[in-house]
Amino acid sequence: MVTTDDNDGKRTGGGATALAVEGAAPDRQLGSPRHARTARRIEAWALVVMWIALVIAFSIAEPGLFMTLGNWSNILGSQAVLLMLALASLIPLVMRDFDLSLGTITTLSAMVLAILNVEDHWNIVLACVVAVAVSVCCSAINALLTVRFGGDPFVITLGMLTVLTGVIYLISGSATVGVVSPGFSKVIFIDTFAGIPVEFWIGLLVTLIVWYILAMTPAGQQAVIVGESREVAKLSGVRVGRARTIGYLAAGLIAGLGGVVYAATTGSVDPTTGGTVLVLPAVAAVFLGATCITPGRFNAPGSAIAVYFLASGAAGLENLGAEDYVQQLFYGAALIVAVVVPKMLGPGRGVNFKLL
Amino acid sequence: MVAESENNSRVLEVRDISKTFGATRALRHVDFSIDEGEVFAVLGQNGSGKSTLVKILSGFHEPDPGGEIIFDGEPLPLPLPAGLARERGMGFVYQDLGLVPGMTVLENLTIAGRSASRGGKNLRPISWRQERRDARKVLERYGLNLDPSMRVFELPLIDRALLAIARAAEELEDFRARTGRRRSLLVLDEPTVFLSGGELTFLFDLIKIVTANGASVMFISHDLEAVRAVASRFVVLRDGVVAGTGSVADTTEDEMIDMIVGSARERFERSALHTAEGAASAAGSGAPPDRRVRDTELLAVEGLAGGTVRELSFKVNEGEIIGLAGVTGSGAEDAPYLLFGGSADGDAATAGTVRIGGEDYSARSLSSAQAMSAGLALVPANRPRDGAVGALSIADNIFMLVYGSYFSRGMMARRTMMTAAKERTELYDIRPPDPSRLVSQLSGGNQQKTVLAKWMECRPRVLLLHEPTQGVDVGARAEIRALVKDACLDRGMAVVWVGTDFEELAEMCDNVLVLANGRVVKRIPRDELTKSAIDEAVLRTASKG
Repeated sequence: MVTTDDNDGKRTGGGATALAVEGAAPDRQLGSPRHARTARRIEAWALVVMWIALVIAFSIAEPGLFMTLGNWSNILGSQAVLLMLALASLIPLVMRDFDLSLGTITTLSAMVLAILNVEDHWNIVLACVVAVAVSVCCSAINALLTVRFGGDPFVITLGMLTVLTGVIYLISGSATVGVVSPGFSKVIFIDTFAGIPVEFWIGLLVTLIVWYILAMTPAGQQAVIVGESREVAKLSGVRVGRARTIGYLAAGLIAGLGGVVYAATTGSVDPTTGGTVLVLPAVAAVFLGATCITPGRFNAPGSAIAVYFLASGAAGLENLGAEDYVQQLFYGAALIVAVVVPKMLGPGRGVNFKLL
Repeated sequence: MVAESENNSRVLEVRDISKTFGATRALRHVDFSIDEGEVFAVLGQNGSGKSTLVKILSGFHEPDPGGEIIFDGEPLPLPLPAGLARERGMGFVYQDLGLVPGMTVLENLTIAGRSASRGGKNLRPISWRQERRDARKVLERYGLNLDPSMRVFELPLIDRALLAIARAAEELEDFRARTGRRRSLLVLDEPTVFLSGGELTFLFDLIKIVTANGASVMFISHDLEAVRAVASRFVVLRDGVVAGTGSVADTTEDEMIDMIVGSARERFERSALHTAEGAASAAGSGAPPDRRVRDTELLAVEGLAGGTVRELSFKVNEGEIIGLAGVTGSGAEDAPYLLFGGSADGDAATAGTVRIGGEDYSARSLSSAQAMSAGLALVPANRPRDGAVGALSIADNIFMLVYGSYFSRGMMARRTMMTAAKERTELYDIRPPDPSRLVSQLSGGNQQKTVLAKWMECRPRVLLLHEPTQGVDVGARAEIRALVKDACLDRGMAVVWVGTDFEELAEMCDNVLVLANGRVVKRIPRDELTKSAIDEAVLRTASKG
């Protein structure tokens, strides 16, 4: 009920018609009913619950196989690159910018690292730095073409993806480049911390940083405002162009780091991998992640949970002897369900996202 | 420098403000003032200059030289730099509310602060718990029982409006605390437009809290009843000038209507002139309405609901032209789309039956395709988006619904089509008469004639028009009106004409239905039909229904 306690009783108006009828109860929602809040909470954790259910199901189906340190070490470790790619894609997506070239940037970064370290015998650390720098430069070009010149992000990044693929073939002479410094690979890929490969912890660290910036700082909130309503952002004084540019650069940085991890993991870099093969599952994870933790909004922890949910599912199916294609079906179905179910729950639910 | 003169309790003084756009004088020597702590209303119809005034205050338009705006004793520099009004203690809430639907109540409350954050502060952690507590306190202070973690799209319209106003009032509160100044002004631009009668009490309660806290309120509206319920003093704008001012308590509703619409004497004179003209034109051209309107019912709408329409029922006979008039949110502007499968913006019919030529259809399942085959045609208001396809030629636009008739033996009879198109451009006087010209290159009037030509190809039984002569030059307007009247006479086509040009409605229609809050609240028959009659009816009934 609307109260007017600290009112000096300044009665205004008074004309012939008094619209306030005592006791009239127009039907309007008062605040947020209990059950609406609980429903929201259930929605926020639905994916986690499903993940747990999945794990339990596979543990029962594959006793002694699924719930082993070895299996989990494998699941958690193998997804580091995909996770970083998901986090990279997440940032522009928060601002409703699409960057399809991130997968290729990852491969390019790995290739640059490989060439500098293997063929030119550069110090591994220096090679890493250059690889990441190259990635950020590619993103800078993306930002220039989309933010500054107003090109459509989908089309521009699609073009960049193709151009960069060509560059990768060019610098590698269309051949696989290896083997990257074994000491480096050992640190990232082979070494473990608490039984799980270091690369997982790197991924986790990046997840925490991205989560902090997006959810806990004014900068992150500005990004959310830009994504939810560019109009209101502009009218409120948010520097939209600047935010979007930083978004692209951050994405490039993380994708570059992903490339470094990728090189360490595989040891040698093959120019034919990467590109859309990597980026689409990453984006699928981001969309799936938007159904949990903060439903309807892209978020970092959700994306991470989605990546590992999908990986656990795929691993479980593999152990059961399923063919490779089952994974594809699983990933694809998960993405479709993630986007459609919220819409079915009610109008305005789910991520508000128009592609072109 | 800070003037806090005792003998001046005025928050805002507008002196001799005028605004000319080319040949149009939108505002002429407007003077008024707002006192501290009062709710001051600015009344006027569409085109009275209300919105120009607000845009001048917010810095969007530059007033003509010679005027002054004095806020809290200090003259504001003119032209007003954008954003200065806010800096000096003015807050604005427009019809679109400025909220982000996808974000929570808490996030919306803090947008201003967040957007302004720069540099290192941008990366400092937010204490969400503290902010939630602060938000609850603020909402309580304004009497709003809202959960800060609710997304704005989940809130009903009234709560959104209250939230937007509370947010703006709170920003003024911050301003007062920060600068130590006592005076601030909250400008509300047509806040009642999408709210129903019962919800208005919540709005007024909130406004009382806002003024109790020290802010003054400028309440811009066409809604007479709302103004009389909440404002203490008012000014009426008509055709860009101040037509009256005073205190609400000392002025009767009739007196206010006189100011808004023109004095009773003026109205009588205008209507006398109109009926004389009407009789003359009827005698001179076309058939008088009684011979055009036939006895057979062609369209019957019952219990139509959807969008802003709550319950709409009416009948139209063959050859009859009926008009629907009402303010924004009354349902008038949604009605034609509901009869044609829903609007491009998404509102679809939720209930009601439509009887066309004796056949019943459920409004909910009536798609545009079905409506078309039943004989309906819709000329929408948003011409570039929904009416004509600018990227296609005149010929393609005219024949796009009847391509099938030019397609035989597996080929498009292009040449036949172009010859027919040339005929049509001459028939409808579309200029330039080159059927291969792209519609985007035509003037508004010629584009509209193209749209009408397109529909006439289908020989519709019922023509639904929404603002058909908006953006159309005088000559084309006359041609369009004649076109419609002739079709009604020749073929017994029925017309539902929805628009805000009441003079046109009075001239064209056989009856006008006045809508408010989604229902018909008054029917104005032919013999009482004048622009002033419609004006007055719309004004008096704006919040009823």
